[in-house]
Amino acid sequence: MTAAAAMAPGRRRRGVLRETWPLLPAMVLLLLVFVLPLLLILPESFTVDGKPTLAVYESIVGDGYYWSVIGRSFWISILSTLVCLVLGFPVAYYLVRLVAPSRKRWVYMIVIAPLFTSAVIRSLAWLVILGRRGIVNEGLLGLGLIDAPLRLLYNETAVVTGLVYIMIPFMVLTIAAVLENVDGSLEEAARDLGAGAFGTFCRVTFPLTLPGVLAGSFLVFALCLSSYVTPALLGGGRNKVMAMLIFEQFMRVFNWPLGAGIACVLLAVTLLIIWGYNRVLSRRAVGSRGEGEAML
Amino acid sequence: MSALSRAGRRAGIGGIGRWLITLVAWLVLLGLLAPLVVLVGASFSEVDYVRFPPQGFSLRWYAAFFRDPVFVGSLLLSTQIAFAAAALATVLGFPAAYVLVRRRFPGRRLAWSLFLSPLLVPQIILGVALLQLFSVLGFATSFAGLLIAHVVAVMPYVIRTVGAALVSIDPRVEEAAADLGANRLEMMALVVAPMVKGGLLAGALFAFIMSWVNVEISIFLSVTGGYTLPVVLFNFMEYSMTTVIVAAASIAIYVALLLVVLIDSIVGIHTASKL
Amino acid sequence: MPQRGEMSETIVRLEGVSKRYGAADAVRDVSLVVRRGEFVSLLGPSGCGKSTILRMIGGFEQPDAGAIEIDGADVVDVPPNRRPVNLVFQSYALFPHLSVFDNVAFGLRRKRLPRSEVGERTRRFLALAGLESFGDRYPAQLSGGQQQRVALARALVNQPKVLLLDEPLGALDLKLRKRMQVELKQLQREVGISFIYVTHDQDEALALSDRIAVMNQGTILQYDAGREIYDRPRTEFVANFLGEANVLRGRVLATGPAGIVEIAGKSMPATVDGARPGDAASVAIRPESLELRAEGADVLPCVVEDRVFLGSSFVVYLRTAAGEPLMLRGFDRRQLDGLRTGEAVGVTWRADLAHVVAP
Repeated sequence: MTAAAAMAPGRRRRGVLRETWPLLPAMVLLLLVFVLPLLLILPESFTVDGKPTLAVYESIVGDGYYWSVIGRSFWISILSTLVCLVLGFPVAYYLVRLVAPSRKRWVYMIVIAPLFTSAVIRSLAWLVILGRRGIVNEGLLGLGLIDAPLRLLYNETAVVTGLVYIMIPFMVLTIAAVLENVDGSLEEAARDLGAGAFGTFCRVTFPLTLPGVLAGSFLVFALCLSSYVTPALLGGGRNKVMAMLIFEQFMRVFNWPLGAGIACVLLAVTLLIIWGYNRVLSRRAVGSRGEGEAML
Repeated sequence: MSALSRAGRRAGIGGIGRWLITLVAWLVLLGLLAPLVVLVGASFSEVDYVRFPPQGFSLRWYAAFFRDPVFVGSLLLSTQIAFAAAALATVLGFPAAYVLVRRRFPGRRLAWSLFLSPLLVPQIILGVALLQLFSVLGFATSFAGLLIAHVVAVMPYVIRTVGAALVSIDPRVEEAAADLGANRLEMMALVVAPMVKGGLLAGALFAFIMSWVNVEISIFLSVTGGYTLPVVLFNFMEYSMTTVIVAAASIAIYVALLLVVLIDSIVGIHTASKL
Repeated sequence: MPQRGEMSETIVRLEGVSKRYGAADAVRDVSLVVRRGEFVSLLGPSGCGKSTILRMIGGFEQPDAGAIEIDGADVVDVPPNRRPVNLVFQSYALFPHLSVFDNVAFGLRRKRLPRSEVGERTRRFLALAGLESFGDRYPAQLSGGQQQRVALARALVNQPKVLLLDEPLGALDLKLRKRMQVELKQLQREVGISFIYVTHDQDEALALSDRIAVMNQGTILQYDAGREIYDRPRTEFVANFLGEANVLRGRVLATGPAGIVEIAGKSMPATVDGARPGDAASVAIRPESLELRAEGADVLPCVVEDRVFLGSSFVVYLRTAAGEPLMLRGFDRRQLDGLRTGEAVGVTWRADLAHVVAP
């Protein structure tokens, strides 16, 4: 017999490294510049003056000020998410079901173009619109509806307005992605079976789109909760949110442990939301997105 | 797709509902565009306090922008960082995406999640985490530090876009390349890369954009003597509002529009919906 | 076994090759020898392991056990790009971004052949495949049959020691497939290269192959010339998969080339080997081997259930007294005209046309 003959099973199993080494540079970068720094935040928040302590978390929990900031962050994010949903759903429905195919591209462009500008620029636009001598005030003054400029900036409404403007594209695109996969003939079937237009929407279209609605809401909520630029520019110093506290502690007050502590709280909440988001997406098994893509 | 929208038109929502949705949708779309139009319009004002509609018409604030070394420096830095980050993210992300899509290995799902997770962690937290790490290492204010941070933040876009492109190509074609005598490198360079060219380009463009618009990481990692354009604008806006800032923002908007057109002509704008 | 240095007759040898996917056996202890210049088909239903064998020879799968030799050399640890074989994929796997010419030249360029030789050989094989004028086109601009020819030329231009073909005609419509079969066979004769051809189409295997390996559930059931397998199927599966067969249950009375098997109380003739008198046995008879006969000791009484006119032939569906279905194929139309549905008839066959088969 030739070289053939008996051989141990698995003898030729190639080493995992031999198959996966092209992954390594990116992986090393990720571990060193992403995983490691995130892991380092946690011990930072438990160390004051070189000694291990719970002081940071005690002060966060014990001080009503932090609770009020956390509460405001949540309130603003929930409100922004709901407004995004109410305004975003019709756009998604229009984009997938109603718009003429020739115009679809333009709708996509209008939805996506703002994403290509930074939050600073998009917030600036609202400073111009809502400012003391902004378009709204000038317009109302010009029409004689008011005598003195209204104070439209530096309050929670301004922050919500800015956040909604920034987040709507995410809501629209997430819902649209799900709606694309809902078979239009299901709606036809519902009509065929005697459902009215409104009934079809309530009983067929909307429930089938629910995963997209939930996913979009989770996504927008998480992004709102951690956004810094818009609240800082439109909210003013008296309407602080969590991200502003973190920035302040790290860059102005230089109380890094406290900043790290708040960052850990924010991170924990965000991870919880992502967990919910993934559960929604995987349980509903919304098709078309490839492996691993359900992550975001 | 068009069949679906036709089905929708026929059966989904009828009459008034349809008009209502179309109306609301266009109002929202108008609302998405209007603020950008306002900025661009105001940038042509002659006066230095911000006005819309613009008072008069002049390009003096654009001239002022390009005369100011701080603005020009930030524009340059943003551009350099965005180009370099996109290039590095693509060079590192393409092989990684290939392995993630094509190879079966233990922990593959975990690796997928890890590679996409920079999208999930709030940027401000990544920003402070990197500030802390780089301070310890002593390059918190270096170009390299800012660049590496951007690479990590934008690489997921490359991985996701290239990954999706790889999923859609027939792995048999790669086997055919090997069968015809191509080694691994030749297979990647002569077959895989040309076949996912669209995905690679889109991924690189998305990476560029995400780096270009980034504020919340950049704000923590100022390079000695310079900030990126969005950070400079942010810092200015906190204490003054002048038309030159609006002109600077308008320049960023022109770049955004250019990128929209570029992406639409290369891979179709709808692919950007996965951003 | 051939001596070292001597030009061996054998070009591919598989010995005891096994492959598992998780808990499932894809290929179980397969041994196979392909001779130089031979056209061998691996025939079997989908999932029988035939493609896996081909992919192991090509180097795309690693066997868990066993040896694979190509031209005397063990290739198990050799990656696909360094094996002297080429594979024609079922989906063709043409490079969509390369022209037809560049597709065909791909392998030659990987060998760093001089430019002029690449051009000359590529053009020669394009001509051989009837594609002279298509060099500048791209795969997407070609019809299915043309793509298939590009795939063939792209593989053959490298002058592999063996050409592997994975259902290469599977994507073509019936008419084109028949024409391509003829072309393929001519091409193989012209280039003189051994072909290993995977198919689930028995007609294709019979039309093309010098030898056929009939496979099921990861093993080779019978490996022989097509005609031999057709005439003497060894198992019931082979009898049914290669051509049509009537399989009747009975008990062996006498063995040998003129053996006797008792079926439904009648002593029927059959070739019996591998069974002893008294054994239960299954007898396979081709539909065209059945003869209608009125009466006799070796005549099986049946009832006509249906008759179908098929143009050049006809088929009569019968049922034996034991309730087993039979199918008779005839060519003399007068015979068909004489039969009525529900009519009682008798059938018989020659001993050399009926074989005891393993279950």
